[in-house]
Amino acid sequence: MKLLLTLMISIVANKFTQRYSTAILAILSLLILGCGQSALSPQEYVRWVDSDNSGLVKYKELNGFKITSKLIPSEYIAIKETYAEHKEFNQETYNKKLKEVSGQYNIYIQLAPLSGNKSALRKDLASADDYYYRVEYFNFLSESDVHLIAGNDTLQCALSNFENNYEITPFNNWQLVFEKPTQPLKSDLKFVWDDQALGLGRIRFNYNIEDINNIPTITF
Amino acid sequence: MKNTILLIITILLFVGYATYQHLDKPKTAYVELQKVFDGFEMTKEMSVDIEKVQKVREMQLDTIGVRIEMFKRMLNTQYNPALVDSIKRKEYEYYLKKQSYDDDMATLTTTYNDKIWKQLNQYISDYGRENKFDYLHGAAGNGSIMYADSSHNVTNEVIAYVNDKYSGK
Repeated sequence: MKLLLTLMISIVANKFTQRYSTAILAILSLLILGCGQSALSPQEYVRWVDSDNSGLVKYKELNGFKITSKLIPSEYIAIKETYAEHKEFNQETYNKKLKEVSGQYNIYIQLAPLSGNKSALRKDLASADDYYYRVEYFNFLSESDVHLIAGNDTLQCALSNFENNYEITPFNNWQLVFEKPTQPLKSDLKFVWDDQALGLGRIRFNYNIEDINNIPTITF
Repeated sequence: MKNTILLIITILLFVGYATYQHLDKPKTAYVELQKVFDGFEMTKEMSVDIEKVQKVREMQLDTIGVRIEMFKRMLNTQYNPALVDSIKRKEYEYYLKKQSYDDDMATLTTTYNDKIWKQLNQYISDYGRENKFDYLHGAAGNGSIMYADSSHNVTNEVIAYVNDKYSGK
């Protein structure tokens, strides 16, 4: 809806050639984009979270790897799980799922080599042992190397799930769950991973409080 | 009239040639690598991590050292061959531990430095690409750059850029 309005305003702005009308209309469109949260349908919501505009998807290219970090709202998971169960949207299931997953911060990491078709687990291996170490690391050891900084709280990872897809895709997904502190978030959310397997060092991703507060609501 | 046209054409040709010369020049700058390394947030964080490890190890060594000192004082009051043996064993233990810690610390520092440089190389190259530089030289004080005008020094901009990238904003 916001985008439509902005588009309409831009079209109108193009038709007016006066100096001030364009400036006023540009300010108006900025105000519409900047003010408050919008409401989206479940499908639109999922698309919005996945888009770069949401500010919830961050990228980093390091040492031949592309690391994508996505902060996933609980609503997103509840929608996805509802669709997985019913193949269509069902509000009762959605509410149930949302209750289960609210109270968590979910970070989805995707590790992909920048070139070649090998997965992150097999990229630049020095030996077979390296591969087994990486598998062991992401499955069992990595949990203690990731944390989320929410204000004064450093949250330890509560659940880590690494998908070893055995080279079906040239990337690996890694899902991390952190328990939300009781007090509301007042500053940026900082994700930190001290990599011990791919030689990347400390990886940080910062989620702006403004982006988190501007996550749209869902209309049914 | 003819003269004016000729003059305008000459000026235009001159401006065109000067612009061509300017655009044809490669865009270059240099960064003071040590300054970038020291100003990089990751370096500061890693130094804190190394210091923590070092402190724990120093405490462990101190514990052995205190015990050796205690045994020596006991030996001063009364000679005991068993105590001499204990002191020798403890001193050997101290020596081995210290050597192992020193080696470990050197390895740890090298590993951390490697990781820092990996990230720095990536971010500095991203900076060069984003700012459309043809060359970005690294002045390391080892003779790689003997002289450059300070107007080409982009060290501070690079430090701000790499820290921004590192923080994952």
